Amino acid sequence: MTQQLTLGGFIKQLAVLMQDADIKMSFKDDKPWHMLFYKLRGEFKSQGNTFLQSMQFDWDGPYPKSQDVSDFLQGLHWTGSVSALNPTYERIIVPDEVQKVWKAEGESLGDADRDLLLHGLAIARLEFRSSIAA
Amino acid sequence: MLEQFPKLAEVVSTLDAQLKEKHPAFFGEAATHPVSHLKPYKVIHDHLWGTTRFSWRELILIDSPILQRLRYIHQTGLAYYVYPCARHSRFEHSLGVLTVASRIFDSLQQNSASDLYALLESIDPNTDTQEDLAALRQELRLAALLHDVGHSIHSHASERVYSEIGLLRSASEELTRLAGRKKGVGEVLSFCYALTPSVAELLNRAEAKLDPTRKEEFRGKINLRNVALMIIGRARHPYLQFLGDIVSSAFDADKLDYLLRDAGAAGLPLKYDLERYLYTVYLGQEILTDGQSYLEELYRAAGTVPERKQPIPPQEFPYYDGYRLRLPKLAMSTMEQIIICKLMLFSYIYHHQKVLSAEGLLVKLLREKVEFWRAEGEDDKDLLKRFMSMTDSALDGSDFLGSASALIAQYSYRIQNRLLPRVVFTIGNFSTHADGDLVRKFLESLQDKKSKDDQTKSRRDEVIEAFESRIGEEILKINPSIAASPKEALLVAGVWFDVPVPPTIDGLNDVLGKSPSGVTVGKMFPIERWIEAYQAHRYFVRVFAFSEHYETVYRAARVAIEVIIGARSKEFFDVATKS
Repeated sequence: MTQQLTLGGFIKQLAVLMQDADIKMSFKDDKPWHMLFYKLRGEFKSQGNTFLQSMQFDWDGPYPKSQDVSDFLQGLHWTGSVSALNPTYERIIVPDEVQKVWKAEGESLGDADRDLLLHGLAIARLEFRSSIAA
Repeated sequence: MLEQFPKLAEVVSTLDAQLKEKHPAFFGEAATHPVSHLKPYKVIHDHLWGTTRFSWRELILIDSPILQRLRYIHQTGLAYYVYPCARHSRFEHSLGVLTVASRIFDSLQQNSASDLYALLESIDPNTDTQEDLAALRQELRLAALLHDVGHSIHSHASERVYSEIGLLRSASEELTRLAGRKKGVGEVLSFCYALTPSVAELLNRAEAKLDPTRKEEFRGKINLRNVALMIIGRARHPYLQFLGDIVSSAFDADKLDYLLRDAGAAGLPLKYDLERYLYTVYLGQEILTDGQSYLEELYRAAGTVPERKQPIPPQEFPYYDGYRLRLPKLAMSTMEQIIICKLMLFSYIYHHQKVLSAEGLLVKLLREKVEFWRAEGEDDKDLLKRFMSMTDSALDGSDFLGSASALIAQYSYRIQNRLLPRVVFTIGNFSTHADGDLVRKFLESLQDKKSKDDQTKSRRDEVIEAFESRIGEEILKINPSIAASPKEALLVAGVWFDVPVPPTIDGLNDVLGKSPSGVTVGKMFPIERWIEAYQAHRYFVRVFAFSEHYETVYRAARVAIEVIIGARSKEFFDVATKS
């Protein structure tokens, strides 16, 4: 099984799927993001050659944290690829024009990458369930 | 402690061998230092923190080549080419971090006395808490003093180059596993220095030279393994985690010192309220999760066996109860000041385009020099020794300015005489113009810096390489006589694509702890907006080139931008060349 997606590419494609599935993406509370990748890594670590194999997690607090995930999410925010909703900055959304570009980028993905993304989406449904106050 | 970490052990033995070989009077088998009897303490005056008392253990290290080398390494690299007074060194910074770390410890002892005594008794019910506290304080101060001893020529600029040495990369991965937290090569070296037999032997000899009639300062046992752990932000027991936090965390003593020291030396009027920080800092009881058993291995290696608790839902991972360095809502204004200071320092100093120009040129020079040394048969250990013996003055010596390689000599001459490359293009988050979406997509790709493994390049590195290669190819098309290959053309014209690392404030929400109402203070603090404002409007990537090749590089880089970014509008190029 060969995956082409990088960590950043995976986050972008997953964000598109999550938005389509109406899963609210938290920003300030980053626990769901880290838990998603920790669990996905646990499932896929021994399968294929993906970015997951070399992911490292900091054990400094109540849940594992990946600095790479934090950095990329922050990067998406300040490059204007995602918008954080004011005034609380709790939730991020992918603007329509960016979503269109990311979807186009995802069209060339192979089966292995799609499989990985679908697993990610399934975990996201659970992890992001209650992270943002209604 | 390093039985399971062969690369770290290799770095320790390499550093130890170098110390013994290079400084036999301090560290060799027949070492003579310290020559005379030692005073139990001395005071040193610092322009930031005033008069500080240093113990005999600290003094013997300060007076050794390990710390003295730092006198000749500028704290802010080549920033003095923009801020002439920023000529302070890693040496005074190290003394300052010791002072601040000590003051934080003393404040915790004052603010959380009951917790502190209780946790020490919990670790060992038979302990002498006064003796324990004195030992912890001494270990903490030594960790602060030694935290930067792994620096080399012009500080962080050279760190980018020696971080590419295979042995150090592998050691960094081992240290990440040992600490259960991502650790860079800089921390590897300081951690390993603290574990060298040379340091332990020097301290033992110093103890033998103390005047037995003088009782000032702590003379009890300390453990250098604990010192090394604090350098990497850890401690031998989860109850003592706050000690690691003081040396290495989001609001550690390092940051508290360098913010004021760097700003003051550069002449920038930036301040924060340290007294309020000290007045409010406390020990927060929190859990340290340990899903991958890294902490369990760490504590075992450190010789302690704290209780590892099994998760009770909703908790998902085994965990330890621990004590962390925490600040309450009362300290929010101080936190705001510290973050503003940090963002402004990035904007004014660390990311100043001329500072980036000088440091980028130094990085290119050092990479060339490493290739040169490798071609002469030097291995990773030799290169490690090279970097650990270099100071800023190395540029004047036979390895650089007097090098047989014309390119190395030329680059050294340029740096020494401030013949720095100039900016050809500046690319930022210009969301308003016609090519805004293309630029956004390009900047987005530069954030994807995680590679699959050691053999694979990250997306970010691929983009940078493709961009630079294209510029090199275009230079050759414009001027075929300039060089024999695109890579050589880039070197001759002094070209690189500069992508600085944006500032981050890791762990802010954790450090601020909880307000009495249970709300995370971080939720009330608009830090994300500040960071976004900084990065969106003050962060740029740039193409640099030597002035005499400006016109050629302008044409070449313009083609690279059109091909790789896709930006072609007049508006884009007007903005990108304005600076």
